[in-house]
Amino acid sequence: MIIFAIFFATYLFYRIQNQEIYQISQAYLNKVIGLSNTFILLTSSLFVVVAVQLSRTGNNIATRINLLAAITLGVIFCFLKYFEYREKFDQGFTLVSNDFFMFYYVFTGIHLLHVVIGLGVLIFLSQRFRRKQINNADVDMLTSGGAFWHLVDLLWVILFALFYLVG
Amino acid sequence: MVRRPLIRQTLVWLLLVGVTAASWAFTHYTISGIPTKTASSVLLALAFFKTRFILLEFMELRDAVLPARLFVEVWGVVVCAVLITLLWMSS
Repeated sequence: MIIFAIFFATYLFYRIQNQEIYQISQAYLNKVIGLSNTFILLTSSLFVVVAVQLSRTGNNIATRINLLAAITLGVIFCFLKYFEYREKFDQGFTLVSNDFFMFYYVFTGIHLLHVVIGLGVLIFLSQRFRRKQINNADVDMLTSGGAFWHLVDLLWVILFALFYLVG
Repeated sequence: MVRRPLIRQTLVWLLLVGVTAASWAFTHYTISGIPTKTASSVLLALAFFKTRFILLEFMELRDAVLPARLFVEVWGVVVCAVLITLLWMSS
């Protein structure tokens, strides 16, 4: 969290040096995809919350269904990100176009990497909850894995504000 | 037993979705009449308002030990304050 806080401050520090370039470049971002991805991650987080609660009652099937719903939404997030990157590349905006796009690709790329890692964790957990015998260690593991997924959600909430909304 | 926290967390999700939609609408429809720095500060404050609910409700830090809860509360306030200060440092 501290490292990402430094990322956010670094971005704004450079942004205030050359605000015009950032504002012009920001206008090319697809805000509808950004907004959709925010709704998607918030909703997937809710499914993980429900899965954690249900795991504590021993309802493994419902736990797994909610985990699979969260995974599906995570995959949709990745697909939308892919389409967004592709749209930007087609418009000629790459990592070296200017400082704004350098920060945009690096920060959202690092975040996307965390989404992929989080998806791996959720898939692993959903496999564990296929078993009939679930113990407290499994529930604790799900709680920890869920916390990682929420952290990914939290970071996106700030990235969305910084890159898509702040003028 | 599980119903009560789920209702609470679903309400938190509704709040998060609502604040996100309001932030987006604020950027699109009303930002022209408001100074950019003020609008941007409001949008950043709203983002950190959302992260507080994710930390406390979704990550269950509301019931965490005091040092852990203090860390996340202080993190949100300090980082938000630093970012808003940086926004106002621009010419």
